[in-house]
Amino acid sequence: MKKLVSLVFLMIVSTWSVTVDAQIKVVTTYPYIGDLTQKIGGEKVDVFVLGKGTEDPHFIVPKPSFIAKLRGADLLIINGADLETGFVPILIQQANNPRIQSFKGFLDLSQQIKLINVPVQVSRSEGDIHPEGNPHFALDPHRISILAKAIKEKLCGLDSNNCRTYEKRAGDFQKHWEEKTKEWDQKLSALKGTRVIQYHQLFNYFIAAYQLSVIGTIEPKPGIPATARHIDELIGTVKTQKGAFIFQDVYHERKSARFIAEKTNIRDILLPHDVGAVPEAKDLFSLFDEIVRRLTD
Amino acid sequence: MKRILIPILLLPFLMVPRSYGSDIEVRLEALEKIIQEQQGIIEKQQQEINELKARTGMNKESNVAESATTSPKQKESGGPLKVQVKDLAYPTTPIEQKYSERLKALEIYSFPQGKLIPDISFIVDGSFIGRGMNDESYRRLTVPDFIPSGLSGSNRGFNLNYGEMALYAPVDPYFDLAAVIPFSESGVELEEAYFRTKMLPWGLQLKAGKFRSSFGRLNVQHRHVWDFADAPLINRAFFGEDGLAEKGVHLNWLAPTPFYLLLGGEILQGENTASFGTSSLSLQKNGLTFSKDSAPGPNLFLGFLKSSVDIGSLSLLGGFSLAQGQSRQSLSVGSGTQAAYGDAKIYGFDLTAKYFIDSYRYLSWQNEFMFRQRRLNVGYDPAPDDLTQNLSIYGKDLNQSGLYSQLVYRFAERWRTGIRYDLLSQNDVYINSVTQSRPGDLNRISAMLEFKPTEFSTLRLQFNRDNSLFDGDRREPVNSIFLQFNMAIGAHRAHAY
Repeated sequence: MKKLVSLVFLMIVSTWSVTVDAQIKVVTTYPYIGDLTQKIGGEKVDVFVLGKGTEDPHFIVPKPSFIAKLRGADLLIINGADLETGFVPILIQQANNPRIQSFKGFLDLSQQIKLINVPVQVSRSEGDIHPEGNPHFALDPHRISILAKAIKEKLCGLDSNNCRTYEKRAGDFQKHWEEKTKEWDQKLSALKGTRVIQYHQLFNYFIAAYQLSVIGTIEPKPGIPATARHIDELIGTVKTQKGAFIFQDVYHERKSARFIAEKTNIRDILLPHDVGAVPEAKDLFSLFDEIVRRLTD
Repeated sequence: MKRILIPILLLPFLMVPRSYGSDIEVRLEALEKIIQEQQGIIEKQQQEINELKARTGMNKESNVAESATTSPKQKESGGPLKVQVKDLAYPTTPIEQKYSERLKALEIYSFPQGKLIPDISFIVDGSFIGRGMNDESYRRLTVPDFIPSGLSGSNRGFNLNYGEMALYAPVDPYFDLAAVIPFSESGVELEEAYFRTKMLPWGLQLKAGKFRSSFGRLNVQHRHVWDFADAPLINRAFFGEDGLAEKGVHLNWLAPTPFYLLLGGEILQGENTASFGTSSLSLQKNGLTFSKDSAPGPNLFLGFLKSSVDIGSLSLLGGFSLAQGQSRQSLSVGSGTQAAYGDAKIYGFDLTAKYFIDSYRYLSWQNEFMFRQRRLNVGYDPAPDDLTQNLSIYGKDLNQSGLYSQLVYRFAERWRTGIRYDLLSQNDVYINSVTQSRPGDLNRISAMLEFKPTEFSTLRLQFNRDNSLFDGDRREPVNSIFLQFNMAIGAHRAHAY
């Protein structure tokens, strides 16, 4: 018993000594937010990401180990717009950390974005719809800069001594990002007007940005798995409307897309939706590089 | 507006020379001209309005971008800006008109609080039960020394198990309030009603009111998140059908360790009679008295420790719990009445291993072991109306333990299956320090298959083979089958791991 007590004590002391150094502890829900925060904060921040790029962002499990991470966080950054409803509130509730429950230590990125696909009526008979609008805005590269700015502001608010550093890093990032965005815009301009099918309404912002058009989703309603009849209807739609691509995400089943592709002779492309979704998407830049590469190859 | 209109309407009469007065066509022409002029003015004004609108910024993103350049402090108090933008987004005139009409009718309430409605949800749980024994015989059965009185249980056929309303909302920056109110066909109770703190320092959290105790793994969870239709035998034996939900306070401390470590304590009223109880007792017969005052409240003291680590996709969660309190029990046994007082101590160990295959599939193995020690003084009146039979008073010590182990496999997004094994492994009973012979191997095995179309609906098929039940001294194995539904509507908070 004595040994156990001293062991626990030692652990507590050791973790305390880690907190003494000046790094800001940031917890983010998704890898893309983590990457963006790391790029702006550099070595001044210590970032922990809850979800993995390979997971369905709607269903991250609120594991107890996440509670321990949130306990020590100075800042929690979420995507927002209802995407994290299934795990963030319950984690905050158990984390016993007042810092992330006040304005200073919490950032909801969706507040910076004018959301699209806002439903006029909200009913669960239409599946798992997001009442505030489509939350997958990070897939439009034109909206990343505004997020970077918001993160920079937040870091400056928490750590005014290093605000200069954050401003500089954010400025550098934005410059680089704008250059890359031009390059992606140019490469993707050829796709304008292309008709696509996707599993979930995941790529809507990307599709809107590059003026593609969606002719259907493999799931009949958000969060409801595909049915044979719905797939048949989709095949009909693809045939009459001459669809060109199926955007397949990494976490849903791939059989349905494969089946439609085979029946209609269109391409099903596995597209990463977040950093880490495929091995090539190592950060935000390579995420969009990879999306562009897979679409234009 | 009216003041401007009247001169305008009067204009033609004032401006048109008197000699033309009789010529209607000329007068009409003049009128037309004036109307056209007015039209021009209106258009010009509209244009100006549009320009002004554009300048104030209808676009939310450009607005945020602008405000982002201001200092964070300014942004924090930047609420009114958003409101302004929103207001401009509406066409002003018709609404203004409506508003003034309603204002005249005094129909406007200046203090609407509609947006402050808490998260409200309602859950309904019903089942069809098939059982190889009629309801009367089933209710007579007991699990010797574990569940001594008749089983409440559900009837064969259709059952409405409960309708449960849950409320949750922040009270203010410092507290959240939660309530769980199960309705049955016969009435309403308040299963949980408590506040919890949000702003305590040093990783502390306080909860007070009435709540489900954090003892072990399953007790704190609500019925609708259980993996099976019924509670494990050991939970039912030690905490009763509805589990340990008591009035009191709960304090927990989340240690600042890199892994999850939670330490906590609870001080509870201890009215749960399955192991504890507070009411006074009294048996009297032929000048002989067996009685005991009520237990002082609070009567039940708990401590627990929970810890968790992740190894890749495997998540381990373990816990140790201890509960101690006085016992006061009064129940009918056969045709007689039994009263008992003393104390009880329960030790609990739990271990859950969950392996996540992907976002939709996992394999979960959950186990709980509990040990209960009771020292009781028992008074037994075999037949209260028969004065020839005297009270018997004796000391009864019990050392009892049991466990459940369940394996649940979510093999597809909407499907889960699982098996559970219940075992009441130890039943050592001493009367006046003399060892009693008691039946062993009290067990039950359950299997379930679950279809879960969404996170809000569940349909479950479950089979139980129960070898723990006795009719007097005779073991009565009972098979039952459950077809259960559980549906939730409204704003229901996500559940803890």
